Amino acid sequence: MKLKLRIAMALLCGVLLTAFWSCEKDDEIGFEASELRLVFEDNFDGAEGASINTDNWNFEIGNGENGWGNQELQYYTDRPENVSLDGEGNMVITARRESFAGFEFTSARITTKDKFEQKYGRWEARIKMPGGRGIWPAFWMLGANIETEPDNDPNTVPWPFVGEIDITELRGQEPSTTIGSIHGPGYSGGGAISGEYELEGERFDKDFYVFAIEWHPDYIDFFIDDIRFNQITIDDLPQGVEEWPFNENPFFMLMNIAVGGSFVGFPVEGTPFPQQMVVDYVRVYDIVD
Amino acid sequence: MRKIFRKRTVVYLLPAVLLALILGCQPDDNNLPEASFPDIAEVFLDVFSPGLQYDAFGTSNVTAFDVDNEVAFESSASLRFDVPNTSDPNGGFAGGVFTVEGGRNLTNYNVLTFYARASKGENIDIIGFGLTFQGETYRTDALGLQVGTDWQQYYIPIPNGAKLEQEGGMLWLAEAADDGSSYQLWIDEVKFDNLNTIIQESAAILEGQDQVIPDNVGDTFSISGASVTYNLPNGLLQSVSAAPAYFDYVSSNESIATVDETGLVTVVGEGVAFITATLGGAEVEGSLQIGMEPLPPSPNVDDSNAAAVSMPVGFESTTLTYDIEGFEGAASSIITNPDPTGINPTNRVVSTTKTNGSAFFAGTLLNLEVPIDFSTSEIFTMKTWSPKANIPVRLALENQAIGGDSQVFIDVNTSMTNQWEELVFNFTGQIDGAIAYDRVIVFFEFIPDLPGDGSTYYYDDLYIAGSDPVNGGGGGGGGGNLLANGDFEGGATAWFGNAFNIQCDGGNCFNFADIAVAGQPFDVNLSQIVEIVQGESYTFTFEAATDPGTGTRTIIAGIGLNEAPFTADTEVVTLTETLQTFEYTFTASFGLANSRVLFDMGAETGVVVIDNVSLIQN
Repeated sequence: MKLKLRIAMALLCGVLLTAFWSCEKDDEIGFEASELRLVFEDNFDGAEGASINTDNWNFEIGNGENGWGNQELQYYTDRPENVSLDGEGNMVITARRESFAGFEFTSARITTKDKFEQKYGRWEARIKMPGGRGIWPAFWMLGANIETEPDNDPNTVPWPFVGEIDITELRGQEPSTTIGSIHGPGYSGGGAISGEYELEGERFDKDFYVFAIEWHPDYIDFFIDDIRFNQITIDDLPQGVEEWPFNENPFFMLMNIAVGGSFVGFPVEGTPFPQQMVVDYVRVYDIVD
Repeated sequence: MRKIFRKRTVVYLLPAVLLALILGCQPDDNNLPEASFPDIAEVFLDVFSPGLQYDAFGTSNVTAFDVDNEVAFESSASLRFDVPNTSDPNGGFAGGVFTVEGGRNLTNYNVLTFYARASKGENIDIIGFGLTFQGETYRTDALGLQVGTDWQQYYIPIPNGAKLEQEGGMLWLAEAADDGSSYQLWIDEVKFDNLNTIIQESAAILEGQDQVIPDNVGDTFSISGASVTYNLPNGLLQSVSAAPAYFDYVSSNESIATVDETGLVTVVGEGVAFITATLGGAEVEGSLQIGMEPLPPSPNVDDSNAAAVSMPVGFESTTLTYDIEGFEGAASSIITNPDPTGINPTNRVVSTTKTNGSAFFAGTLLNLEVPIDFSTSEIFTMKTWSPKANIPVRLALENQAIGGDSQVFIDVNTSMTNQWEELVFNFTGQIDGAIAYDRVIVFFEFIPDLPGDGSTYYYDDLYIAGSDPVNGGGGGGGGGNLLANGDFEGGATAWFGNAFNIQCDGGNCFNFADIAVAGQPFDVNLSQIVEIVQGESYTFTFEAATDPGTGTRTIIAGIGLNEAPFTADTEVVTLTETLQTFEYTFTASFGLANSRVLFDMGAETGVVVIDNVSLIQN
């Protein structure tokens, strides 16, 4: 019953959202409706300059195919200059303007693929974002059965069929706005289903914020701190589109700073560098109703 | 609406000149009681805000400004400047100052914002606030602000709002047309604001440099070159030049140097002190060091093989002619060292005798064939031998052609009798980079009106601190590695190319490339720019290997042009899984500054590891 009440609240909020792009805090009753059980946690404790825990994380290296499909300009490395602990309980991903391996920028992209994957739950991270024209940070998720190179394995499927959930991404030239999206077949890339949340007179690159989703069968709620700013449900799919790849497979997480690319445009001379994405913690919970 | 337009005749420098100057530092306020000045944010929305008045610069086109009631940003009026032709006999630029009598309390604000557009794309030379005809203690300027034909919002952040308890300078600008032809500039919605969406990225004094000045007691020095850089709400950087008074200063030793709130440093004692600054509590880049730590004794100069009389000079060459001249009664020559002990055991030195009754300024000059290179430091050291302690030795430097008008000098006292000692002449801050100093003049016992008494003095080892004490005579190889970061321990510097990929293992870094698809050799390349001189011989050395998975493979290595026609002198090198050292000697068949060492590895697949690369001119 309580869950239903919560959904009702969410729908009401969703209606308001179209007018204001912001929602007030959820009704207290809604939050008490379900219990969160911690299943994954990385607090990034360790010495300054130390590597992140590779039991949890993989490094992705290079520039992918065509800038990871987005004409991105950075070369991802696993060097401490691009990703390491800061000794104060944070992980720092740093995008730099430097010549490296034939590219003008370096950065880092880490994933939990094959190390932590699950279906549903609350996925959250406390992050101080980078901000600057042409900078594209993201905390996001992909279906664990993603096909990275063409194969004949029926168990793997390529993007966008595999599904993508963007807990947050932002355009560095709009440092007050976070975007939460889902991508699937028929609604990917520029056609993704998205909701934005704009801070009033503040910036995501000035302080830490908790970015989270709560992923349930048939719907996903998006949060900034305790504010649920969007809900995307199976009913939001574009007309004629039916595939909702978010009820089938576990997903893994990714965190990265891209530089340039089709989503954000290119950095310019006046773009500040280096750029840092400072992550206090990443946590994943089961939601027990 | 209250409008006061006045023309004030003030001495006003051209904008370009003004850029470089922060004029006098008189505080705007004179210890008035605790401020209760109005904190009005608006400067100009539709009308002049309370108390605002405009004064044109006397040398500007004084009728350039008016309020425009037709063109405005979402309002009914704007500030319009009819920027004149730069050739306009009534004044070639537009500019003036918006002030409020008595001033306002701006401590609650962190930025001045406004909208602007122009009749054509332009750059506003200077626009800012904090300038009045009474003073400019907290002047803040944005330089070269681009303005287009659509309204855009602009931000001039306040470096430290807490200081602005009484500020009369609300807005000022000085603008000459970029291409010389007249146009119109509109400014609207001018107000102070407090925005959390502006982030301070960095701040600096002294252009961010760590500068050093001598500890000459009584000297003063004004901190300048202050700037602050912000990340604006659109994710772009903007720098403002900031008055030094925004910063808080501290001296590490008040008995050596003091600093006041405007950044005026006064040297009050001998020794070493540091002036550093904070802005709003945060450290800023740049510092001022007063005085130098004592230097270790400089090495003995060996110029026995020098090709010319140039610094350093040890007077050891038997083939060069040292152009030495004693004047005004000084008898000077090069002799065998009469006391080859202590810090100066070398063979030959200069002897100079101040003959009886000679002028107090009798001395010895040495003409150099090559001007002194001060790129290492501006500290000149010299070894002296004197029969008297505590007499001043004057060392003067000048250009032979200009003579005395180009002279800089420093007096340092001897401290010992009848033994070699080293005197340090710190010219830091005195050297004029535009002057070629090619004459060294030495005076002993430089005491006005004291005639010579027949004493004989010796000196030797003219040396610039930190430079190479061996004068090899220039030209030729010199034997050093011409490449930077040849061991790849220096990170992502010097090298380029799509094969550039540093990896580190067990404390050693190297370049690692793994070629997946074979193509043209130059498809996968590692290079570093180095000047190559045609016909010269070079030895190229490096270590390289592949991995067990690859087994063996080849690469192309050598030197070549970094531009068309890409002429190169190369070798095909066969790599195995064992790290080998390869050494090749090339006589360059080409020559250009834009040349390089190159490794082309795209013709075959597999791993290429490269380390410890050097190129030496033979």
